[in-house]
Amino acid sequence: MKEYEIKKISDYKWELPLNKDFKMRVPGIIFSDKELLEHASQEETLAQVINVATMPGIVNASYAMPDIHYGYGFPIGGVAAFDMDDGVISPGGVGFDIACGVRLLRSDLEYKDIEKKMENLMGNIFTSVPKGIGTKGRIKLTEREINLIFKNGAVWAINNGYGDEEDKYHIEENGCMAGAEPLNVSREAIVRGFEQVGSLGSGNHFIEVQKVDEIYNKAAAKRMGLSVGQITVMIHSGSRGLGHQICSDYLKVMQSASKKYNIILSDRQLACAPINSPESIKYYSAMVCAVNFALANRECLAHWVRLVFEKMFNKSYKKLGMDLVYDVSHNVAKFETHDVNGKEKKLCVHRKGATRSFGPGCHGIPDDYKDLGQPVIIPGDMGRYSYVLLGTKKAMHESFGSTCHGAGRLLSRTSARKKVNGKELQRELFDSKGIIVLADSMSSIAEEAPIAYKDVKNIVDIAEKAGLSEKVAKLVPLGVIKG
Amino acid sequence: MLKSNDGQDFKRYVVMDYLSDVLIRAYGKSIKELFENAAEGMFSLIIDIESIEKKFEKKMKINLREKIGLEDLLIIWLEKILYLNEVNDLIFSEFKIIDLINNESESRISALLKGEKINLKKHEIFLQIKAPTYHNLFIKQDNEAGIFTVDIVFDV
Repeated sequence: MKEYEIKKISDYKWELPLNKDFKMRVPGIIFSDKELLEHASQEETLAQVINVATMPGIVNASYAMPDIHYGYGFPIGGVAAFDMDDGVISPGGVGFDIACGVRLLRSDLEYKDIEKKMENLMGNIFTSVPKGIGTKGRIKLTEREINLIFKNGAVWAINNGYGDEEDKYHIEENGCMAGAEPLNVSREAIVRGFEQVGSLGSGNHFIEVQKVDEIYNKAAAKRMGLSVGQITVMIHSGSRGLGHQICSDYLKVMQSASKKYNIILSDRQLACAPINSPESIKYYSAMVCAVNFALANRECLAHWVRLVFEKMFNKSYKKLGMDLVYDVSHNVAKFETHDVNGKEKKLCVHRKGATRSFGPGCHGIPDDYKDLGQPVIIPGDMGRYSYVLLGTKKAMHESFGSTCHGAGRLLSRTSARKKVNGKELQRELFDSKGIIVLADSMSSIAEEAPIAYKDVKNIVDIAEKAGLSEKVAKLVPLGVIKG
Repeated sequence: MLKSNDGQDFKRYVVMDYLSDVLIRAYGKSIKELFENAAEGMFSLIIDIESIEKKFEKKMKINLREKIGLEDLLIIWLEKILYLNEVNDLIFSEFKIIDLINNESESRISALLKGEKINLKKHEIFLQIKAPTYHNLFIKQDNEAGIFTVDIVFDV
């Protein structure tokens, strides 16, 4: 294993200095504490941070968020911004699950209101949400409709009765990202998407009914409609097979494009092309279609959940106060304007397993949150807690307005399966914490066991100490649907 | 089990530890066999292969009028099978490559897959695979042992 030189900048910021032997164009910056950094070094994650630092046109640094871990190509928790003139776009820097993200719904319900109904509530959510292979989607799209989703995102769902008009103001890009070109999406991707809008998927995707456990920033929590003891619902899903296919299709395009533009790759998964090349323009416009598909998907999933709550409590979701707090993606590339050495510059910012964390007053934050900063939703594991954070001014200078996206894995899926019995964990979580966990597969419960993840509290604390985001609220799980 | 030229035993594929995703190491005494075993390894992540009955056969063809790298062909082969799984709810336990051509003017595979339609009352889906990745993807050949090997990282 290679030994990398690591320079301490502060207790929570470390540098992998520019090293021409590794063909680095910029240094690597890792936001971490000493302990987590040692863990990251063991995983050879640093090599992936360095590989990203070799990419053409990368600006300032190859960044790694506190939940960094070994991925493929880009590390998970990687952020890289590219110059518009000599930079690149890389589908691998976004990942297969384009616009995978989280959304949080609030409610006026408290734990005492749902305590006795929990089992029924979770059972009903479980049966009303399609998960993927072998389960039929609740919506069968036509080609015309899927094209409308590509162009309109969550707004398509809202217009078709699968969402709430007000939701769009609390979704990134107002629920619909501009720049989609359906003609650049392959037939295979479209076919994969026909029955997938409003479906959860598998892996680490989930729907969680939670209780607000602690508030750190009263004013911000109040603005978001959050208070201690209140029930919330968190949804984690992405663009499903449609997004995976778009990434696969363009990874192939970029393999040839990298050769065509003489880009030397340290890993083929990093294949890329100049931002203004036809290949990148096509990929970006197809990626936007997948982003909009993901936004529509989470809007529909939230709708199925709201309908279950309506049935269980004999009240409309509006009367139950089930408003959307925020919806944010953590696998995406976006054109953003940032301060680079005192000058405003338009950049293409890739976040792979990293969340945008714009500070107060920044463009793109909903009006009612503008003075607070952008809400950031960080899911933890199924046995502990998740967090609501806010973006900061400091993040704008430190990480192009980015922070962590989750806890980060500690154990591989195979080791988690060896150590944990899914059925036993399901019983144990119920007996010790009253958490109801439902999944089609017991092995997926084992793979997502709390011991397979780092403590997300450490991650959000490091992000806060590094100045990338600030804590607003802690949420604890009451019931979990695993995809 | 495979037996190498020098008498070593090899499993056809092994699921390896990989932090965030899954890695399959596949072996084969020929490229054809390597591809077949990689596909079976991939499917073993989705479902218990033993639980799949061979109720029907599905022909599959890949026809490209260009030479692409063997690794690229492997990715296309695995993606096509995943596509059939996801779009048609099909599960397979046998992956037979009848013909594999990778020369200067074309890259082709014709194959016969055996399996059935998924039935959630009978089959437990372990996970859905997002895609095979190009990360550190190299087909290696041990000439003495006569064995091809490839490590494939799957995003799950």
